[in-house]
Amino acid sequence: MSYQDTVVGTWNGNILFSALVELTYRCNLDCFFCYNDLALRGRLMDTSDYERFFRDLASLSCLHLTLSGGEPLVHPRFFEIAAKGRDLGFVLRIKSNGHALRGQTLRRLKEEIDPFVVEVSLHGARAETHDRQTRVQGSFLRLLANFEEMLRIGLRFKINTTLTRWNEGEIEEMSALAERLGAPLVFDPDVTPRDNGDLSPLEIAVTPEGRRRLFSFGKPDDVMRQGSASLPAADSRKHCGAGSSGIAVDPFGNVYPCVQWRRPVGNLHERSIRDIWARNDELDEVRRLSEEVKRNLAGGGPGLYCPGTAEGLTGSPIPGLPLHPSSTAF
Amino acid sequence: MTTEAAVYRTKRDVRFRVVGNEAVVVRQEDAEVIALNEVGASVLSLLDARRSVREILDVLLEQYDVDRESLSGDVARFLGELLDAGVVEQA
Repeated sequence: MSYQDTVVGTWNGNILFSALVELTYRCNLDCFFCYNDLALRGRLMDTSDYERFFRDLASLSCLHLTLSGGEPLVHPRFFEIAAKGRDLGFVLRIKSNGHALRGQTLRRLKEEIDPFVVEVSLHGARAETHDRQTRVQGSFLRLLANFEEMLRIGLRFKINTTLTRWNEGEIEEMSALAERLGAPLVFDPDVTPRDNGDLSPLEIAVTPEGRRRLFSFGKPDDVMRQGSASLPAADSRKHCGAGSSGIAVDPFGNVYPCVQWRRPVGNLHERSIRDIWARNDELDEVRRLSEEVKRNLAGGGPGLYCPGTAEGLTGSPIPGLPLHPSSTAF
Repeated sequence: MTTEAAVYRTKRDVRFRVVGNEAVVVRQEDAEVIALNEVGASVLSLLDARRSVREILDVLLEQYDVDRESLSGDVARFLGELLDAGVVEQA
């Protein structure tokens, strides 16, 4: 049996296999198109909440754990929480902007946590572009220096780039930079609305010409959506693993089918993930919708279609409704 | 050569979970994923740096209807494969 078969099995069998946890919405950068809802309020998850949650995840066979944000490294208990993930045997991914990945913090991450990979955001191949998006002067040069330091200590990292109209002219240069660093580079071709529905990030969504350039330049494997942590499962009856094999959790314990599909299905302060996963009408509906999306796209449709983003934009996850221009076929 | 007194553990970079009736093993250093069948998953779950191969055989004999001699040979071969694949090491 291949790993692909395993992934298909988790989608079809509703086996919780991967979880993305947004530890905090605090950040040391100020990206123009950040999708976090910074006005969201609630009771923050504390270290003991995370420990209980992680134990439950492990008991459900969950293997992949991604710590995200905001910037996860600015969480005051980041190392304590990540170490619990390491001790419980997760394949740990850290999604970071890379700004703090230097010096003692970097060494601690490598020595104490040893994540499977750190996914670092790159916003352009030039300082003026990268810094324009992060809105922090000097962030590009600092990131380049941090990349070199990561290489020196042997931290496994990959580079994620959300393509925007500000950086779409630098696809080749970013690719060359990644190649020089020996790091995989993955483009996400879709800027998404903020989680509160604010559409202003779409002001810098990539142009149709930029999308064409990306797909004429890149291999299909180089292009994927932010939420698609698992392999595409052509043999599955579902479109994706959202709510079937994966979940996302915000800093206040709200559980969603996916980082892109912000339809709450429970809260970890009120119910354990074991309970949420076992009995949940909302999750059942998401799973049903995923099958419906798959059937609707069977005759061809927009590549990299994301039902979560579609729901945020149109109110429905089902293809066929008019989407934002950046999300149409390329 | 694997002896029944030997004790094994998974290597530091190895992560795994039993999913359904198989095990998914990830070797982080090489970004390699290995899938093991039900028996392989059982053996891997028992490699806790404390149990000897003999004790593991005792546990497996309670789970599977097989004679000790053939099971011992199969487990020894399997542990050899896991050693070669960089999944386990002697504790």
